[in-house]
Amino acid sequence: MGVFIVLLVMLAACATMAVYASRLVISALWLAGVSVITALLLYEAGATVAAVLELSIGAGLVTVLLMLAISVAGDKLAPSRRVVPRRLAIGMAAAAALAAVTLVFPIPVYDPDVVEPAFGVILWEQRAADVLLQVALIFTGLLTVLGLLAETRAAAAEAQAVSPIAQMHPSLPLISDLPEAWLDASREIEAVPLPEDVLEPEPEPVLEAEPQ
Amino acid sequence: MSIPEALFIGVLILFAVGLYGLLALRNMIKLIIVLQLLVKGAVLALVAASAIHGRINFGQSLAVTVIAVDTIVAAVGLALAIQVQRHFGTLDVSKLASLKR
Repeated sequence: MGVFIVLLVMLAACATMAVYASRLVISALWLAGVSVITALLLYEAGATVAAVLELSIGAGLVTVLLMLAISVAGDKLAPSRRVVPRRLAIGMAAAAALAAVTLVFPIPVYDPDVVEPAFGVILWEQRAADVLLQVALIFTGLLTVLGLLAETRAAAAEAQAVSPIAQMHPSLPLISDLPEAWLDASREIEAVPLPEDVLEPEPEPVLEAEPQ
Repeated sequence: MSIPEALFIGVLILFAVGLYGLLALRNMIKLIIVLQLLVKGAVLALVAASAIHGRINFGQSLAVTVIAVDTIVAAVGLALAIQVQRHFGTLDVSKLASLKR
């Protein structure tokens, strides 16, 4: 019982800090803490497979994804006007939690002596359709992420089309029309530093007047 | 305190904090973090309800599905947030309704 009280206090602290942290990176780390405590609660309840998955995916993969997104989008939280006032939001959340308490407690007691199939039988045989749907969802999400993040080439072509240089010289080819090998070669050229004698202008030769 | 009671108290904590975050926060990545809190509450509720009925394996099979789908939701949401930041220069969802590219 003492273990559960400690875990619940830590869960409340981590969840609150994940919401109130002023930096997104800190907030993501507190969320990883929530995942760890959730995994411990699941393990104590006997749901070991779910606990391992929550620990590896919730505290691992999702945290890595959050760090990646924060490194691209920026860590700073811009001050913004609240749509819902803070006190009203706290009141609504407390009222909803109170309503949930009245729905859940007291917890009914059922006959615990139920003979249950093994986890593998339930997952792969009784819920086979759900698993197939889950696989389809995973591939759909993967393709969606790839499609969302792989439009830099089209965006570069669009930016080039509206640039003043392209409007002055409409015969120039668009970036999207160039072969991929040319773009790779141009990136390699940009990565090589120029020698110093190229950067410094050469002194102009002094012409001596011929004697007459 | 029994195991289902402890799990349901954890569900209530995550539900209350997550609901407050959804109402009060405006940053898109922060909203995804808050959604993760709510989904973890749902996972705990599934396992707690199955523990009451003595069918913990069925509950954790549902929890595994929820965890996998929630990860996909987070990945798609974060990719959308990156694109919103690139196109609009902000992650504030209250400003996105009035911005044009």
